[in-house]
Amino acid sequence: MNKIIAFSTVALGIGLAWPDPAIAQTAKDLVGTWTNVANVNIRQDGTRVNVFGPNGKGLAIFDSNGRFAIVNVNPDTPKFAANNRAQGTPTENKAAMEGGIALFGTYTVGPDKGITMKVEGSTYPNWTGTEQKRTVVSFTGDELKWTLPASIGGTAEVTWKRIK
Amino acid sequence: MNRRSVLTKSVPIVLAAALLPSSVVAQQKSIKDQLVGTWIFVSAQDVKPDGSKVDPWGPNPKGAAMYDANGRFTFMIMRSDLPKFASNNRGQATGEEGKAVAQGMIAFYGTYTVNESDKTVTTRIEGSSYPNLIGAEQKRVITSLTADELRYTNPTTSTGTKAEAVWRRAK
Repeated sequence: MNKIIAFSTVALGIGLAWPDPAIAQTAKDLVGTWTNVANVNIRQDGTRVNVFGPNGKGLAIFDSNGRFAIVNVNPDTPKFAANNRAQGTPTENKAAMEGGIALFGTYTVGPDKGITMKVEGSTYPNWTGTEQKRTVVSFTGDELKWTLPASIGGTAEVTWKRIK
Repeated sequence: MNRRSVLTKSVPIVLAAALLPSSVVAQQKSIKDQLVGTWIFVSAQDVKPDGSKVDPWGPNPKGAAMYDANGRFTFMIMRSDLPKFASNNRGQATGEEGKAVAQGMIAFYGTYTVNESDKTVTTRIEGSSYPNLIGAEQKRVITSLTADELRYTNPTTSTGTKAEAVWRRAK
């Protein structure tokens, strides 16, 4: 009986002390470099679209001092015919805007395990200076999935894999 | 006997002397080690063929570059006066909004390597807000690197000029 009680106490102790591995506990869990696995836009009617096309890709870096940067792109965006970034046609400029987003700033992880990003600068001007909340849907240490209100309306569901 | 004790005593000294140079070297960090971290954009000027300089990024530009220890990086610069999209939707820029933003920002990421002897950083761009840079390889020549400041020249920018850039380390 004593043994059973002792065992249960130990088990309970471990249970209490062991963090839920499925959810990011602290900002420390995010530190590192992540490659984009998926960037899905969930429209209001529930349909799912790859925001940056079938080959969308990106990189996110979270440093240990609370700074982050994210770049996501559609690699199939047409190149500018003039081969000069300042000489895009209206169609090329629009496609480039639709075909990528980048942002940087500072981040914190709150008690609710959500990630708050203070966006200091973004290639999408409406995001510059905003504070954004990303809800962590799943976290396994090496894979991270969050959702946020998308920059094109609807909900964005973004999946990252840690680069080792 | 005396000789043996001298020998015995001298072994640690020789060992210490052998170890000394590496500890001195360790204190002189490589360019790569100094580059790793987060840098905040200060300024970049285009240098025209005639030597005149133009600031394409306007007052108080924004930007960050992050170099990780494993050779990956992100890089972005943007003007601070870019117009917000009236539609509040990234996919619905007007012609003027799209033009201003496409001309007023750049972002890319990929892998980088440092050549310690000629003080250059080569970036291999995997993704970029400017599609022509995807798959490109760029070289930057470091002209000054301290604990807090990084200066380099970019011999070929995405607008076809040479540029001189200044960054400060994020605190």
